[in-house]
Parts: sequence; structure tokens; C-alpha cells
Amino acid sequence: MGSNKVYITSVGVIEGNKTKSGQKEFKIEAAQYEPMLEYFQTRNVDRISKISLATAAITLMRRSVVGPNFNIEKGENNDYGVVLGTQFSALDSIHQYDMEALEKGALAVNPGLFPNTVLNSPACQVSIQCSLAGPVYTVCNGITSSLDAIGMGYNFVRTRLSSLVLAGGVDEITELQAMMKSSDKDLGEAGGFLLLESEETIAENKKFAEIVGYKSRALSKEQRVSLVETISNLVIEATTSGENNITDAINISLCSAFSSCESEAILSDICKKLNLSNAAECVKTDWMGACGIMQAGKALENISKRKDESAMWVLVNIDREKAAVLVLKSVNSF
Amino acid sequence: MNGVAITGMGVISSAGTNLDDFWNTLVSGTITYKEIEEFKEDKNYRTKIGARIEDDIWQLIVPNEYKRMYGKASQYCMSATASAIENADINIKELPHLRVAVVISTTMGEIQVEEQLSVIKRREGSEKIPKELIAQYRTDNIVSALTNAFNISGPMYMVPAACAGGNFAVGLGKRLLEWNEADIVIAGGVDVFSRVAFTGFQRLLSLAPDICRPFDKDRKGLVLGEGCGIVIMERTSSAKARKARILGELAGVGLTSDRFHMTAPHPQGDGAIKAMDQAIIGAGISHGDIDYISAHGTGTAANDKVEAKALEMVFGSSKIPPLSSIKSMIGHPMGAAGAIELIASLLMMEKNTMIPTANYSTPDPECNIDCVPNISRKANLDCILSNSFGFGGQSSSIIIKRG
Repeated sequence: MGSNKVYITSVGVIEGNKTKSGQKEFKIEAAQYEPMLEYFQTRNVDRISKISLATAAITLMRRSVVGPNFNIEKGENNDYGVVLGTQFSALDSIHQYDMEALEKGALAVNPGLFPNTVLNSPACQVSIQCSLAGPVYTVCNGITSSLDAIGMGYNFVRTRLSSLVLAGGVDEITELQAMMKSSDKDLGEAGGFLLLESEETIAENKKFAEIVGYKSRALSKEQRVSLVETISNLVIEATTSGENNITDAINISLCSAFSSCESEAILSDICKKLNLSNAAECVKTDWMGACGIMQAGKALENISKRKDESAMWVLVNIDREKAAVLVLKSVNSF
Repeated sequence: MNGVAITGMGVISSAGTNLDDFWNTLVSGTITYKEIEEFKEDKNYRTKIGARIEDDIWQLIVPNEYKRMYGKASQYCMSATASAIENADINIKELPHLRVAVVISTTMGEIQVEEQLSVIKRREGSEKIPKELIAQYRTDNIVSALTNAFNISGPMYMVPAACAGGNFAVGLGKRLLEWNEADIVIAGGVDVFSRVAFTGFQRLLSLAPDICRPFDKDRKGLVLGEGCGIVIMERTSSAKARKARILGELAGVGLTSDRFHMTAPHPQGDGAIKAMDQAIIGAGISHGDIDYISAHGTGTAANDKVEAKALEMVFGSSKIPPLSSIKSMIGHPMGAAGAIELIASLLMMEKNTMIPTANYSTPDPECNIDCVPNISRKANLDCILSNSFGFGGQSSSIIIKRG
């Protein structure tokens, strides 16, 4: 076995856009994902799976552009995995199916829509339609869902359980999500994937960034009281694993289930505690379980613009009962 | 590499809500499903058979405040976890001081919350849905309930993987121990009896009208069930150090995608074959070491035929170990199936007895297997393979060995 480094070789994200001032919900327009669906069978496939398929297609196609031919043949043997984080997954499809059965009777529902009612359906649509034969995991971990999905994908590639993993997240806004919203932030739809690969599967000079650390924990009752200290320790644990250390220039991005005000205060206290003077940013939109993939997308945008080789991007998610930290680093060869 | 030991288990099933009842029901080949009361007079349900848990004794462990905060799936998990921790002889008060991870799978999560809110919405409008009810709907509540109830601070993952869920949870639990992210893992699967699932399977024409007959030529489909299975996993070295009783070692895990169809299995069993091969290679054993197979065995025409074909490809037609399907007695508890079948397998290993496949009468030439028909069988069981396959092409096999 070669090194156990895990590289990001492609990224594809679609996000809902603010089109009117005062708008509190940003939804993804059909035009943003439909053009990518020509590669797939979409009859009876629900919207959240369509967004997942489109972002998978963008991510895989970008990999083809930056690397050697990357065409996964249908049926070809491979160990490629999918890990998709989603706070709510297909809850709306389940709800619509149930409502139709109540309205019209259980014998009147369309059996073709039943496959949409399992929470793993978006991830499985990606594995089936992109012909990825490795493990498929759906992670429903609240706000930390997609950061945990990327972290799990990282661990799968790091330990060579898969040589390549599509890892990311997705969430959509429907009546149910709006009812379950608990923060004061605007609600946004987003979906996206990172392509994570080991050294062996990628050509030289095609590495985008490296994942260098990941930690995720439930928060005990005592840890919720000393939240800043707990999260700071988690950041130290994630950033000091492997060859890295906390003295590298760190940019930190935080997304939490708390109010905007509370989130800002938590981030400020973490920066003080860790003596961080670099860029620190609180995510202002509630992207639900897709928060982590949005943060990763923005960090990679910065990495590609700045080409700052020493900087680390620390992505932090805090839900009420758990927290996750993922650490990205640019690589020389990009 | 350090092995992974299973040291505790807790079950909530239509076959019993404690290990003794569960075992006695299954080993005697007793069917635990019947006509569902709410569907009896409903003409929209042409099939009316299901396996519901009628014994409420499991609720006694769940504190009242948690009953108000969480849905039934979370409560099943809390109760089964408390039993599993006790079975592992771990002091619950010690859990906050240990590195404990939680990994749970499901198919539809808190689906009974959905079913309640849909009824309210239809009758009175969305604005009448109580906030307390909608708050119970989040799927990650299931793992949060456990971390809150036992004050745990290790990694927690809610990983829905349909009917292969239990194996996917246990498989991730093994990795968390190997990656040194935890010292103890609480892993398992849960699904509650669901009108949505019953409706869907009825429309797919997958439900048996009377009984579940896995691998029988006259099989007519699955029987929908419910339940929860939880196991406690530790590194074998840690388990031995604390002199824990080792119920079995999780030796191999194979997780693949069929990448064929959302509901139909790959006709040649592509994902199933690879999952079994991976588990066998991972366990470092040969095919001949496997003494028994806990089959997925749903009782549908396509599933059983493909599973039998895949077994033939993996083992050779004359060398398939004896196998059985407990779904013939408890129906299909969906996301809980893999974990409940793992618990049944651990009990079979302990008692050196194969649980039978109930309701078997007519051999199917397309399922050329020994399914331990109708009567339990004594045998030396040192190594068991357990299959679980699910919607979305989720394919999984795990191997347990005597510890």
C-alpha cells in the first residue's frame, strides 16, 4: 500500500439563489439541475434524487476534464463508494406518498413512486445510475450530515476500503423542512459532492486539495455546557492528526444550529481560545444537512484562487447534540 | 489486527422482547404475524397480514420524559440498547466516561410521526400539527435519543440503508473500532410498523396474503414486520481484559451496491456475490469454514431465487451450507432485519442449533438449498454468514465466528 493520503480531485455544488430582497428561502431552480439529467433515467425519480444525480454528474465530469478519461462503464467492476449526508433526505417524498394514500386510498398510489420513500434513495440513485459498486452510505446526522459524510468518505479512502468515494450532501425545502426549522437563519437548498481519491487512482498534478483531518462526536450534557472548550479541543484533535499542526495558517468556517448571534459568539470564543487570527466566518444560511458540502465548496474556491500552500481550512459544524470538524489543505501540485 | 467482539445484545421483536422469548419462539418455528386489526375492514388493503409487536413490556425501561420527546423508533432503540448494555455487563453509569460510539440504521425512521401528522393535516390543516409532534420527526433523533439517554460523547451516525441497514450499521461500527475512534460501539437497526411501507409493498404486489414461505416453490411474498436489534461491540482485547463474555467475533464485512434497480435485485446477484466474497476474504477464512447462513430470505419470488443463485456462484451448487430465514416467522422488520438476524445467529452459535425456516413444504428447483425446513437442527456452529439486501441495491454480508 502507498501513502494513506486522501485527495479531493473534483467538486460539484448547486445552491439555491436569492432572487428577491427579503426572501427567506433560497430554492434551487429546475434549470440548475435538469440539463445534467440527460445522462440518467429520471422517470418516477423524486426531486432530491435528481439534484443528487445532477451534482454527481457535474463532479464526475469535472474529474474527466482535469484528469485522464474517467468514464465508469455500466457493470464495470470497481470499489467506488457513495456517502451522502442529508438531514431530511426524502421525507417529502414519503409525505407526498402517504398523503396520496390517505386522499385517494392505498390502492390508488403509484407503485413506481414507492422507491422514493426510503431514506437511502438519493444515495442509491447515484450509485445505481453512475454504476458505483462499492459501499453506499446515507448519513442523517442533522446539520453535521454532509460534513460527516465527507469525513466518512475520507476514512474509507484513507484505509483503502474504497479507492474512490463520491462524498457530499443534499437537502431540499418543502413544507416539512420549513416547519422543522429552528434557527433564525434563512433557509437554503443545496446539494453537492466532492470526489475523494487515493494516490493510486489519480494522475500526477491533478490533486485539488487534501483532507488532512476529521473528527466527529456527540456532545455529552457536560460538554454542551462547556461548548467552546469542547469544540476547540475537537478542532485541535482534527488539525493535529497526521503531519499537520495547529501552527499552520488556519481559516475557520462555522455552521451551527444556534442563532446567528450565538454562532458568531461561539466562533469568536473558539478563535480566542486557539489564538487564531486568520479568516473566520460564520455561515449565515441554514443549508440544513448540506451545510458541510457548501463550506467545503467555498473553501475549495478559495484554495483554487489563492494557491496558498500552507493554509488549512477548518470546517466546523455544531448541531445541538453533536459536532464535527473537517480539515482541508491545499496541495502544491494544483 | 485486533478482532472485534460482540459482547451484548438486545432485541425487540414480534418473536419476543427479551432474548429467551425471542429464542424460544424462533427455535420452535412459531409464526408471530396475523391479521392487522386496522386493516381488517379496510377495502384498500387486500392483504391484511403483518407482524406487530404487541407486548408493551419494552416500554417500561423508557423514561416518561423520553416518551414525550421521541417517536417510537427512538424508544425501541433506547429500550433495546439498555438491554444490550446490561447483557454486556457494562455499568450504564460508566458510559459517559468511556469512548462510546452509536451507529443506527433504519429504512423510514420515525415513520409513525409522518403517519400521525398526515392524518392531522388532512383533517384540520398543516397549522394544526403540534410542534411537539413535528419535532419528533427528525431521523437523527434516533441516535440523539441514545446519546442523551446514556450521556454518550463518542461518534454518532444515523445511516439509513433500507433492509440491509442492520449490517451497514454493524459494519461501520467495526470500522470505528479499527480506526480507533471508539472503544465501545452501540450498533443496530430499527423500523416501526408502517402504513406507508405496507401500502407500498402492497402496490408492488410483494406482500404474502397468508404466510411467508422463503425458498418454497409456492412462496407468495413477504410479511411486513417491525422491531429493533442492538449489539455492543468492542475490541476483542478490551473485552478479554474486562473478562467480558464474548458472544462472537465480527470477523468479516462485505458492503456493496448492486447498481441495478431501486427495488429489483440484480438478476445474477452481482452485489450479493461481491458482498459475500468480500466478507469471506475479510474474515480470512475459506468457504468451507462457514457452518450456516442466515439468509436474507424475504419470501418474494425474485429475491429468494437471486439469493440462491448468488449462493451457488459463491459456494458451488453442492457446497452451500445449510441456511434458514427467520423472516418466515417474524416477517420482515426492514432496517432492523440485519441486526435481529445477527442476534439470532449469535444465539444459534451459543446453542449449537440452527433455527428452522418455517412454512416450507414444496422445494423450488430454482432454490437448490437446504433451508433447515420447519424443524430446528443441532450442529456445531463456529462460523456463520448473514446476508441482508435492501432497496437501492444495498447489499451486505457479515461473518461471525465463535469468540
